[in-house]
Amino acid sequence: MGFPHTPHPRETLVLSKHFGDTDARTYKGWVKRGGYEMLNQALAMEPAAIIEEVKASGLRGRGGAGFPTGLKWSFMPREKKKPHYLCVNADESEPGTFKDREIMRWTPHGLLEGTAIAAHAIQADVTYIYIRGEFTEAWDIMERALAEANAAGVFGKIKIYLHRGAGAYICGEETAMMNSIEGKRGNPRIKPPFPAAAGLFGMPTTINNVETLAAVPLILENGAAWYKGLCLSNPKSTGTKLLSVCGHVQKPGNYEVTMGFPLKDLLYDLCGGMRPGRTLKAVIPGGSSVPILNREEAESTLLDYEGCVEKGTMLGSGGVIVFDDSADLVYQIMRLARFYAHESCAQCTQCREGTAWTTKILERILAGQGKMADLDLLLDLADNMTGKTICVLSDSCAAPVVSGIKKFRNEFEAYITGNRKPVIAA
Amino acid sequence: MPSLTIDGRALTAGTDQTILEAARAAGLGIPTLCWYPKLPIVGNCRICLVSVAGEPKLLPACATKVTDGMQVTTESHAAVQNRRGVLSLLLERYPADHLRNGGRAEPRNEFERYVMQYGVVPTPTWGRDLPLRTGDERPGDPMIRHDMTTCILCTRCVRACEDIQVVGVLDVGFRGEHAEIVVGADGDPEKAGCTWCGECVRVCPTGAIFEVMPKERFSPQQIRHPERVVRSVCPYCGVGCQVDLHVANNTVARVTSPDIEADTPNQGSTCVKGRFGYDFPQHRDRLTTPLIRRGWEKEGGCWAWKGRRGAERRGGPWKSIEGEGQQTKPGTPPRVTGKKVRQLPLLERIDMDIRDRVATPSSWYEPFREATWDEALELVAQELLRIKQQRGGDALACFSSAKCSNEENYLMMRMFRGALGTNNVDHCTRLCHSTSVAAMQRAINTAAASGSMREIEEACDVIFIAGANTTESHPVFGALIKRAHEKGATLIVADPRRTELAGRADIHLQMQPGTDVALYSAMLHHILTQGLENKEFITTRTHGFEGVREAVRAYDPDRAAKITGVPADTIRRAAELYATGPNTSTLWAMGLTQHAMGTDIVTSLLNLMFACGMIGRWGAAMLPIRGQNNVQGASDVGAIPFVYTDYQPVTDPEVRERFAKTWGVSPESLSLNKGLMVTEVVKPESGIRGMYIMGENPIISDPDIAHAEHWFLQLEFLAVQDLFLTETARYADVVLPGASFAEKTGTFVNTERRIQLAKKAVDSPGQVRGDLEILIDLSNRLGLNAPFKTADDVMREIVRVTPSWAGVTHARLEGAGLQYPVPTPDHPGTRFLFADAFPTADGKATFVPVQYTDPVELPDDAYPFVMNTGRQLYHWHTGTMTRRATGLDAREPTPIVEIHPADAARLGVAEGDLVRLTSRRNSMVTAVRVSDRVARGQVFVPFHFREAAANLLTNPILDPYAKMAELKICAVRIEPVRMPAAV
Ligand SMILES: Cc1cc2nc3c(=O)[nH]c(=O)nc-3n(C[C@H](O)[C@H](O)[C@H](O)COP(=O)(O)O)c2cc1C
Ligand code: SF4
Ligand code: SF4
Ligand code: FES
Repeated sequence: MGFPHTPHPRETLVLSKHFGDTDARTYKGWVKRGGYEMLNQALAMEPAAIIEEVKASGLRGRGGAGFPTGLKWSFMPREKKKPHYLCVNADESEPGTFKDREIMRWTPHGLLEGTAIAAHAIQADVTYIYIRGEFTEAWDIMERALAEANAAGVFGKIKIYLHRGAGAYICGEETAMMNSIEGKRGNPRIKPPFPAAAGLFGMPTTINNVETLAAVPLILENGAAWYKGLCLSNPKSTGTKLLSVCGHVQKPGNYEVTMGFPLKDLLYDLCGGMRPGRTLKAVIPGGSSVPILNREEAESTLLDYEGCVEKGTMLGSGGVIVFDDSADLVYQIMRLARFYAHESCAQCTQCREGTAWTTKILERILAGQGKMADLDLLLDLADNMTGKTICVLSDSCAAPVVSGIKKFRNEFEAYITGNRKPVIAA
Repeated sequence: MPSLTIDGRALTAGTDQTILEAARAAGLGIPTLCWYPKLPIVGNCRICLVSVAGEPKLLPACATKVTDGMQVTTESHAAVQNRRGVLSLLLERYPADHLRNGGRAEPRNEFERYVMQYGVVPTPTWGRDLPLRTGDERPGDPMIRHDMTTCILCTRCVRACEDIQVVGVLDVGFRGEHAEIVVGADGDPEKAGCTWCGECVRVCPTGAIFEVMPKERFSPQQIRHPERVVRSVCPYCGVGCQVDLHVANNTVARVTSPDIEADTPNQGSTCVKGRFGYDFPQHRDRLTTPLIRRGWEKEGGCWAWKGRRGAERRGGPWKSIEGEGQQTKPGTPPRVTGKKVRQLPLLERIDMDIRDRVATPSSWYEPFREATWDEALELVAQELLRIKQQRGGDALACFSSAKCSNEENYLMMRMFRGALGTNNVDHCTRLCHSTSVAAMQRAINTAAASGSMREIEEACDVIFIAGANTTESHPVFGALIKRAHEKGATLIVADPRRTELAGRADIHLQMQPGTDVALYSAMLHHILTQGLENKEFITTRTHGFEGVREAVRAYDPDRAAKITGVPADTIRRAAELYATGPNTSTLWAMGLTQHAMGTDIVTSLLNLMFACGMIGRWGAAMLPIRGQNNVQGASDVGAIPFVYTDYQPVTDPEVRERFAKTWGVSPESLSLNKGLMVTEVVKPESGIRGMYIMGENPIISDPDIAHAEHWFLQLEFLAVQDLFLTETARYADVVLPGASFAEKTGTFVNTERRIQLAKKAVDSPGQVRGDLEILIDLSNRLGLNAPFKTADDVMREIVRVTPSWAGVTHARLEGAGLQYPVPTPDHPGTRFLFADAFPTADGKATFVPVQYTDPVELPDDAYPFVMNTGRQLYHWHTGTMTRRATGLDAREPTPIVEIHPADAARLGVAEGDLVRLTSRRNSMVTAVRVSDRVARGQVFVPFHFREAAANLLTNPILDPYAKMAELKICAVRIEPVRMPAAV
């Protein structure tokens, strides 16, 4: 539900059912709503059985990559020889994405329950929930909920700790997060080894997104078949997805829809359409890291993993950023590039230098000092930055630039030829 | 084993190998920047990406493991495009205008070579979007500085510091385009724990981190293209690091360490002394001609003393060491690094050049006149022969040198024994590991380490270190120990001081000084009560255990806790860890040996070791860590008073027969009596009237200097062979200028019995002669035929009389050297000893029961502090070399005493204040350094400084077996010295 908006009838309220309901935040309130029952059942189950159930549900990671969750869990060693860890990725820092925050704010016990079930499924002794540092309210709520749940002793021998991020976007990348938890600089690690083989403290580790884990108790409760049935388009994308809509729509907010929901309906129906007198220009459908869609593409996109790929973009984290015809896309793309330049961990040459240089060129164009050759330079740089680095932050910076120049080249050219006034000082 | 193809070539590779390793093994090159042998792989530069068939993306060759059937193309279009991309991105923030010169540009470093190779043309610096890179710069640093505009952020330096040296001074600070190499948290290397080892300099692919001294003294051309690069051995400690001397203008312009993958004891590292302590031979104090004391005149073909007699005979315009000790002196100057030079107040800036404070004062030369070699050697020969004739050979003694090569030491002892008929030959081992040697000989009839240094890293589970401040005294070995600890070995340190290793140890047994016997006995006591001893080892490989069982009965951990101050439970835990290993190595150094009961202390440690069977396996090593770079070799070739080479006793007539024959002298001319040891020589009752000293400086290194200095004054004749006019040499009749390490070829034995070859890199200045040459000439003048021309010739004779070196030749020593025993010409050397037997008559080790006694001098009301002496990282022994090495001296220019903060507060003294230290023998003035490395009630005084010589205060009482002096403990009192207000 797009709290603070009232739920729209076309939403499918699964994860967001209790958003806005302060009673559900408390342990008592959660139990009253049937909470922790699934955990009790799960703790009595064979870990492998839980993994099978999650596999069957078709649940895929909601952190960005959409990797099948059950499959990821099954990579953990069956026979436990070393400590196993679970990390919960609550570092939600992707521009335009604010769904995990709401899950933690309204249903902290739902997340804790899912976390504990996952920990049991992968035989993890210890779990860290890595919460973005700026989420002070969510932190307080999670802390209270964890204390209550611990007092009630619901987790058995599973230990859950909250870990506070310190303001680096890159720490949302799974291996950077492990470094950060270990007390090191948050640099992504080279893979392989994959976390299931050698992750946190060198031990087998699984990392899952908040939204992914919050869905787990519901899958156990209602069955894999139910979850699999939540699908409007491609059967490879199942369940519901929380979409954080921001930008030029009448009613920005979180909307929970079944996989395969048309983007057009989301924008014009659920979100109340464009502002008066404005028309849609572009949409970034999956957080800031994916290619931009123009209006025609956006209006024909079905929101699931495959539907986005079909349009040359990705569902990513589900942060839908909407631009109407008043938006200056060159400026917007520069802001995105600047974000990545600021957040690059600076290990990889292409990313460290490429993000910074891209930003500088875009700034120069916006300051009226661009050259036509700069556009080729930008594309060349983007080519250098794609598919060659340790993590995909570098690619993420390149994606909006490439799609932006491809689809809105005239806007860039307007600055270069002087048809448009500089908007920033040189 | 996976088979794969790289650029069409079929190869097989090890399962765990990366594509890069497989390619390198096959001699195929793949460009790399962030990768460096042995450093952790981070894969961040992305230049090594290669195409692999079936993979959608390029893969990093340095980080991708090979798989069976893999098809790799290293120079695919995509890979080359990527490389050009990486290089041009890096160039965007790199000062590269000199590379815009097309084919005429000369690449200055590894990175620029790739730029040229891939034909990348940098954009001109004036038209760029991005600024040049920045970073912390170490302004004013005497040895290492940064030019971070050329940094490419490969992070090799960070990893070298963190993972090879285990220090962690450098890191990447900030993110994104602001990322840069930072030094500690605030740019101050001192605070960040930098040891100036220069590992970062070594690994940097662009020269962004560079050595200051070569850059200040030589042109870039001279540095980039040295006239020659010569392999030598570092002239400092017993680790025996191999170093490469770069020569320009017939001087050593720069020192680098050999390839990290080469088989050397240092595995590519050095410490600050090895890398930066090389310029002392160029110091202006260097002696360049022989000197003869004014007063010697030649009359009728004979030299006669015409000068003053009596107390003034050896006088000169200088203060005695005692006198200098009393003087007030400038307190410690501020260390120059960390602050920007511009920020220093004017006075401090002027103060920065402190070199002249220690250089030989010009007045010291006044009592001497320059002489020819002929004059000088003639006089030496005449006087030595005269004293022999008038008083017998035993009125003569020589101090040979652990700084000199095996060949030189051999010649020295050959000369004294063969020509002068005395066994009074010794060197500074006496003040080093003599007690270890005594204890080890008693137990297992040997005098060297059983194992190798690298086994600590490769195979050891528990490292037990007693009385060794390895990270300062043997820094390269210290780093290896830290690496082993990082990899998971358990570290136990027994030391009264909280040294760096003690600080990181799993258990620090911080005992009262000199209470070692009680401590080790208590450990053994606990092991026996727990039944953790190695019963099989005890029965099959030793005797005499029952005596020891009896002897340790009295030392239950609770009682030992009272004596040592170490909690009983800590003792118990250490004992259990030690005994259960499975592989425990035992390391020790001066902290154990320099005691008046040093032999007993080492014995009690050996007892512990044998009872647990922790010797004779790879990983269970007995490692007495030797101090000087050739203290092992000097002993091995017989420069000690009771043995010839290979520890063959001088008292054995058969041995004498053999040596007499080899040397072409009559057996009777060789003495069968054991000679005097260093500490016995410098005593009025020794009867020594004439001395020959090669490269030692006993006036600073001997205990109770005031008496020692006085003793030297009464000699009839003193000849000193050295690089400089040392505190000892100034009393000499004849001073012979010797050659420095860079100026000669010879072999050295390191602490792990590795014989290594050091080669001549530069010519000596002036009329200086190689020590070998001097000794050959003098031998011949003394009537002992020395038919040698080169060190190689001498080695050929040495191996004839040294069974365990029989297979050694200079040619075989090229490269890694050989760890003796090397009994035959094809023997590969011995990495560890005693796998099956000990070199005793029955092959068994002997337990020797020992009892704890209190140290001779305990603190009391009059002398409430215990003074410990030792070495600092930046200095070496009496400072003769290091105080004339620019970089080292700048780091530690003045004498200090380390005092615990609480004691300092109680005394009302602060960092840099002057205090007077008084022992029962003497007193001296020095400056305070407040440090919690020393325990309360204890102080530490380094012995490198003439102005405040620690040995003025030390106790000359001797160990009964090894004649070691009590250098580690004496009681002192401390009083603040109120300086008169500065004028
Ligand atoms: C630069 C970068 C930032 C990321 N940030 C987040 C994040 O804030 N939250 C998140 O859940 N996943 C983030 N991810 C994705 C994680 O690496 C990882 O794929 C995810 O946490 C796995 O969980 P899931 O399988 O449940 O999606 C990020 C990835 C990258 C490359
Ligand atoms: S791509 Fe960027 S953020 Fe990711 S590891 Fe490389 S430098 Fe760091
Ligand atoms: S200073 Fe040198 S070694 Fe260190 S990161 Fe920069 S280029 Fe690499
Ligand atoms: S050498 Fe492989 S990534 Fe740097």
